[in-house]
Amino acid sequence: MLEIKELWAGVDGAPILKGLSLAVNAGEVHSIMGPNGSGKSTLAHVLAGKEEYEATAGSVQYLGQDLLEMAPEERACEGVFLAFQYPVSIPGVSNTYFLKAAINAKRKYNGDQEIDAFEFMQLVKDKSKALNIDTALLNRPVNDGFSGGEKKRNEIFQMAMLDPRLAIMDETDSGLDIDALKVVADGINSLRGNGRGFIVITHYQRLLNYIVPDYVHVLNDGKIVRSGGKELAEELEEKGYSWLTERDDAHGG
Amino acid sequence: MAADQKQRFLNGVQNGSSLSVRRKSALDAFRGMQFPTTKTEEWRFTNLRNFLQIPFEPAPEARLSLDELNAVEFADLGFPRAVFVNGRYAPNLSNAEEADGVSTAPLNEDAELGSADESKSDIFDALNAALASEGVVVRAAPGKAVETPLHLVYLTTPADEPAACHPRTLIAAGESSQLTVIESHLCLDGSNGAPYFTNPVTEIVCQRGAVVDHYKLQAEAEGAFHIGSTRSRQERDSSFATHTITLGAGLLRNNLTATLDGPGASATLHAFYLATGNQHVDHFTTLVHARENCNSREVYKGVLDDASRAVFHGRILVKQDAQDTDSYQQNENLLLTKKARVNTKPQLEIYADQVKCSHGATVGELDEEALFYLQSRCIGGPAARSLLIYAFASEVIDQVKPEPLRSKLQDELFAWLPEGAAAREAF
Repeated sequence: MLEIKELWAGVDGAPILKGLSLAVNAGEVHSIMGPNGSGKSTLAHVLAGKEEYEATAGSVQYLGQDLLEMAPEERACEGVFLAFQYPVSIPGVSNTYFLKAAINAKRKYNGDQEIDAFEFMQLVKDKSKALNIDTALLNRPVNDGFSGGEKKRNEIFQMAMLDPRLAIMDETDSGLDIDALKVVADGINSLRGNGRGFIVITHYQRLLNYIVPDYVHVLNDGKIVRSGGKELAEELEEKGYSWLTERDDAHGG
Repeated sequence: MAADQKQRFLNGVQNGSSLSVRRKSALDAFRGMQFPTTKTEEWRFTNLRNFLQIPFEPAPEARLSLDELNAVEFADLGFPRAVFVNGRYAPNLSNAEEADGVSTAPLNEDAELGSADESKSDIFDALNAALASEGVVVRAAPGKAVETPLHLVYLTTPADEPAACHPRTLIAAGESSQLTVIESHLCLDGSNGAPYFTNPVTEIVCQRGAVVDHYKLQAEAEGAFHIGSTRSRQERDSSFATHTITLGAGLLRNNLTATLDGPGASATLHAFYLATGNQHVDHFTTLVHARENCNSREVYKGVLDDASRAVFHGRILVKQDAQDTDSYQQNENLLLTKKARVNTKPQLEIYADQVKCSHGATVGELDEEALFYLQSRCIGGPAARSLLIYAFASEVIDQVKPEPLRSKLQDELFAWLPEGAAAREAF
């Protein structure tokens, strides 16, 4: 569903991704790991279409379309979902109505009828129950005053509501305690299947104790330097990143 | 130029013994003052040069049918009304007597034309006191909770010549009474007619334990000059909220002075202003904490489009006796273009030693991070911008209690916002 070929991208003319290639097929879970500054978040933002990240070479095909040519909202309407590392708070907008507007924007784009109030509330009820989301969270303004764990949980809830084809999780595990991590991981696991593709970006192996990926890739200096199965994550946990980063001054992890 | 304008305003004013004492004293005060210039500290950012060149005459009498009135945006909120057309009471359009527990009456000049001292400090205030042709006194009887809001409509009709009117309102809430008053400044057929000048003064007195919710809505024509004052004085344990909603007029100046004059009183000063085109909106507020244990909350939020300009001056005076004051002030401005401008200035004067006072001001553009977040959730383009603009305004709009007014404001805003209907989904 997603094919990235020799992608170069950066900010203000400074390249961060330097010839990255990656293919994700329907239903696969790919984990991208790598040290700080390797370009993990850049990859997430380039795929979601953040303006200041500019792709200078290479291509990204998504379901047969040129993803880089699409506006961020078009990508979202076509089923690309980014779970933010730092979800933005929007005071004055309730979480629930925000999602209703989002779902209807998506439906409108796809030429579908608007969701009716009853159907929407039923969806909210089902998804919040399945993900064990506190309904009090739903009536609060989007991410406003949420704890770190609440924000990440809310991202998972939004993902469930928007039912994406390709979900990109940008360090969804960062800053979470083990209980919150489990909740987030359970959420992701419950959304696996149905041909949904995942790119799970993480710095730490521990998330992968709960989400077992089909593939693990190590990103360093803007390129994938090693790919393997879930055992690669375990190897990284043991040895750190330095043995893969080919830098003379690197020691241990 | 300024002298000409002073003389023009006084054309046709009678002299001599037929005037009431207060009116005469206001007239004297007006004669003794000068119109402010940008050299006057309180008027640094608001230039009256254009205003002073326009030959305003007293507004002509005009008659209006109920249908014509109700077609004016915001005129028909379904509440009992006292309607003034070009400054004159219009009994055929008014039904304020249907409001239960509240009495309305024309001004009795000697008793109710405001305090002469206050009129002496501001030339427009004095002008109003000198020339206010007709006004209204709204009284809530002690202990009476008036459930239905009362709507005071001040309407201007288009005229061939520049016209001025000086409406005056007194709201007196008796001990432990409760009252909601909506004061609307509107115009018929805003795109036509000569420029006009509205110079309203509203005084609000909250007796012990009274609860007053006041709205000043201004949705006048582009060619309108609106320079007005609202003054409140609160006794012990009273609670006063005023919501200033500024949508129209080419040049607007709202002076608001709220005095907490009894222990345990609380005041809420909320405002939302939307300025487009070349509009200039100036809010000059003074909060006086005169006694102990009072709290105040002031939130002014503005959206500025095109080449509009906003001025906010928020003075908070905490007098020596006002121990345990709790005061919060915030002015936030959202600039939608590079040409829009804002001047914002807090001014705190604190003479008591046990005081909690906080203030802040922001001037900024729409948050790019928030826009991207919305885009990544399928909401893009103008709808995303509109959603964030409304979310910004909602802090003030959501606090508008009378439902018909709140939903009319929402309608108005979403109609103005590009792809407003899509953005409205989120609220």
